Amino acid sequence: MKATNAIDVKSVIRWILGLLFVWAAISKIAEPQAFFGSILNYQMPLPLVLQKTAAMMLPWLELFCGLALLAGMWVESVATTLTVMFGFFIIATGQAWLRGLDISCGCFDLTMLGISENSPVVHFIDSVRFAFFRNLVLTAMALYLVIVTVRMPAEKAAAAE
Amino acid sequence: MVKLIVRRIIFLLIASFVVGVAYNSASPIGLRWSQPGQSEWSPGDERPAGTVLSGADDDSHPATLQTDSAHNEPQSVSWDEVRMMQAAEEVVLVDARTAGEYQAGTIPGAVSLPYHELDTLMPDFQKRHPKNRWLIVFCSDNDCATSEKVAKTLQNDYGFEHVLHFPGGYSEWLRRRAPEEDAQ
Repeated sequence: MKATNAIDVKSVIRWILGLLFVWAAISKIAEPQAFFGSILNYQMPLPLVLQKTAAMMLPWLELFCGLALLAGMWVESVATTLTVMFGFFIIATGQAWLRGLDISCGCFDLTMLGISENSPVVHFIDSVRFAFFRNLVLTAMALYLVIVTVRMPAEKAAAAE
Repeated sequence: MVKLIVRRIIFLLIASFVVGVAYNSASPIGLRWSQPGQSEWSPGDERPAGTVLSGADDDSHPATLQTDSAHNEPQSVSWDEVRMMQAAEEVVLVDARTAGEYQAGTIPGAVSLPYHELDTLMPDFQKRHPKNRWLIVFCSDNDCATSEKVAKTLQNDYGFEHVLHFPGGYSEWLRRRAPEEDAQ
């Protein structure tokens, strides 16, 4: 029973992360200029070419990771990638919050759900503060996936012996 | 298992890089390594004043582009009308997007005036630009409402007499710019 519950939680987290990342990727792929601008708003002390490379790569990395999670493919590799990615996001949003930058996160396009961009809900959810804590939660979810997917084969091998 | 995970991660990163670069190269609104309209300015620096674009001595005044500050709604203009105005009037292009988006790339000569920073930036803007100057406000594209909000604020709250907004925004300029504008 315990093993079955563990699998169920893993699938739920896999689907949540997969859908989130596909959604996040689509809006960034559709508006690459706006996404690059969002990255620059964080005013990170990084070379411009690196930030531009990230702006070109990240949406597609998110899309591939999201689709892989939804398909149940390479889960341990994708979850590891997401854990590292979230680590960078935590640093970026954390430093923006500490510096008091009043910027839009640029993470998710809520107008795709028909919510007005002027809505206070959008403003709060798009804020750097909310993004920082959301990234902490998402990191925990990705880390859980890594641990479960790496541990389960080891436990099965031990049980088989 | 660790080696397999690392190999797959490297594959994901390489695939994302290749597809990302290819997509941005092929898309008319994609990012370029040499970005059209990208400025050397960074958020946090003092903002550029913007360029007053003026034509030669043509005094013709397109009747369709009369602004009506008695009403609250600034008129919208197409890119062709913007270009026509550049030939006929002294205009200032106003970029209503965020500072980061402005730095990423803007229509050459535009001044940055993000909606959420209007209160901070207006005193300096008003010193540089008289109220009878033609202003054309834009943001990213037709789905962005910020240019209209900034245009209304400039007209109704700050008393600028000739304020228009360009709904097509930076995206339309990217699609329709002449090749020589990339060199600016």
